[in-house]
Amino acid sequence: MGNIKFLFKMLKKNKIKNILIIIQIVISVFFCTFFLMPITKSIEINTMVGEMKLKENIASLEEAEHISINLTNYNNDKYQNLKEYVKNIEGVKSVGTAYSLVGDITTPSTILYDKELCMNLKHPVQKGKWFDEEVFTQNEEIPVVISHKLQKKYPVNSTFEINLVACDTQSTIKLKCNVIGVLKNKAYIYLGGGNHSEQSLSDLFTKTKNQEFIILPNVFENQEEQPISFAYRGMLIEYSDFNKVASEVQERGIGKLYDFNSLKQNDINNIFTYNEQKIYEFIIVFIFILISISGYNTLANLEYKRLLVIYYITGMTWKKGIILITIRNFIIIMIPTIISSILSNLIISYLRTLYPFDEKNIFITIILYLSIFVVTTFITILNLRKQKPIEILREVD
Amino acid sequence: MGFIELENIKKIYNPNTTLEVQALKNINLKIEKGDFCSILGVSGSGKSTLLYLLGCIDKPTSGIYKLEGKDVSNLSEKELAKIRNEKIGFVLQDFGLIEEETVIENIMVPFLFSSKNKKSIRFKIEKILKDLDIFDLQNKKVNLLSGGQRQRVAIARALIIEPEIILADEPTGSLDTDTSNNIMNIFKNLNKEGKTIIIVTHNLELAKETNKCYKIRDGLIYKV
Repeated sequence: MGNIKFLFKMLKKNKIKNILIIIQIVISVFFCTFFLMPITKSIEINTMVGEMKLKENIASLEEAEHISINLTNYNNDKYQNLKEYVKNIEGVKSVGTAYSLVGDITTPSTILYDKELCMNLKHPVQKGKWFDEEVFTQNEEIPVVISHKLQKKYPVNSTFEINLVACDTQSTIKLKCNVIGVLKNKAYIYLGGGNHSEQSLSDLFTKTKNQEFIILPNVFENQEEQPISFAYRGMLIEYSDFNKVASEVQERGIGKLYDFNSLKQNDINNIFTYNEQKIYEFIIVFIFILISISGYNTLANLEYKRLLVIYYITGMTWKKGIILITIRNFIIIMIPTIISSILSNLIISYLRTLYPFDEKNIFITIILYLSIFVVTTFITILNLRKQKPIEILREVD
Repeated sequence: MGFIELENIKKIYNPNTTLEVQALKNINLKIEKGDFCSILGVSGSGKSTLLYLLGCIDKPTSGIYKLEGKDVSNLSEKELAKIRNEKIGFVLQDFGLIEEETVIENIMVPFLFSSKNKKSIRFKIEKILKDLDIFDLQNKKVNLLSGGQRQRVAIARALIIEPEIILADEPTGSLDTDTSNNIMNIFKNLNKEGKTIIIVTHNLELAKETNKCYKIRDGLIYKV
């Protein structure tokens, strides 16, 4: 009873200081999250690509998506022409396309892979199997691979319907799907996107906010006129001689070719060059936050010395007092850190779909802010252990 | 057997360092139940150190401290805290009150750590407040009170658990003469009710008003 009362008195006593500390923590955690999200995403994608065991001779064409989002070209002529053109370049073995489809409100994000892509890209499967040649011969039910999060809703071997919106006709197309596989948790899905220079792996893979994906083979591939408006189309090129293909593409002025190794390198460069300034800013700001909050909080803690002594002479142990100050520090520092870290990740991932919600960011933020808690508590305990209770009372008075 | 007995008590601060200070040297002291004692000494003589030992705030470097016949010099932190809560009431020169809280909240503090029966607490508080003439101030914040009123609140807090010993560290040190006399009268009345009172002071006039007077000099104690 006395211990809880002491804890409440501590929280009540320095109300303004405590609120200021919490505000500092919340603001800095948002800053920290904003900084961490692109870095952890890049690192995670690199790891994921390693796990996917992609063929080494795969390249991506920078201009492909750029051309595909030309709104005057619903029938995709320019993209198809480009694809045909690239196919004929010496050194190119095959060219594949990933399509992000527009679904109705009930349909999860749907990705269409053409045959080349289905055969060349093997995403990590947790249950069931990835696509094989046979899937393209089936007519009634389209075999699909779903993301981890959908497995309860659509177990392996179950069937379900999806509705796709055909933008050119404003009609809905119903497709019956049969689940043949479930992807591993948090798998990144290849879209082959990226429409800016210095393309990186982050541009090629995506992970939606709700992580609900359906991947199906492009059943429209052999139709002359494809009924769906594909908002984004990535292009994947399997090559036998990268240098030859890359120089050809560059010479003809149709964009820039990146192989996975250069994409990975771009990602690393992006972290350490594109974000270099951010890293330095973050380090400086974090050190400032560490010193500021630790100093401020230690001062606030030392104001409890008098209270601690009064409770000590009336029956509380010194050790319990120190434990309670530690608990108070935890409440003031760690609880706002945990809450604001979760909130900042949720808000930023909601506002910027490029950066999905990732517990790793929360974990890293908590570890960083734990240092403030440790430093503050350590300084306070050191200070309290040096003095005798009565000395403290006289000193404060 | 005395109520409070100190046998060959030594207290050394920072032992075996260049900052070593021998605050108490071989102190032997016996205080009976119901005694009204003063410990007189100049600043740095060791009188406060002695009070901390008597109040179980500090432990001796060597020697035996017996309280009601029980050796308390080597008790655990928890056991000493229980003694401070149940057997000893502290009155300090600077009052040691929680300034931003009310008189009643301050007086109730020892009950937070007490396992004593709290049933008749309201009646007990009323009696103490009336006896100390601070009944009308009970809902006032301490920082709005005068020095004399604050010291009465501190005495009320020391009495609330009904301890057998009251330890007062320079209880009139920051009060004017009239208020000091009032506070001393309160201590005299408490002593008449059977409380053992030990006052530490550097004021000879104050010490003369107690029944037993000890003088402490250079860490050694003498009966005056």
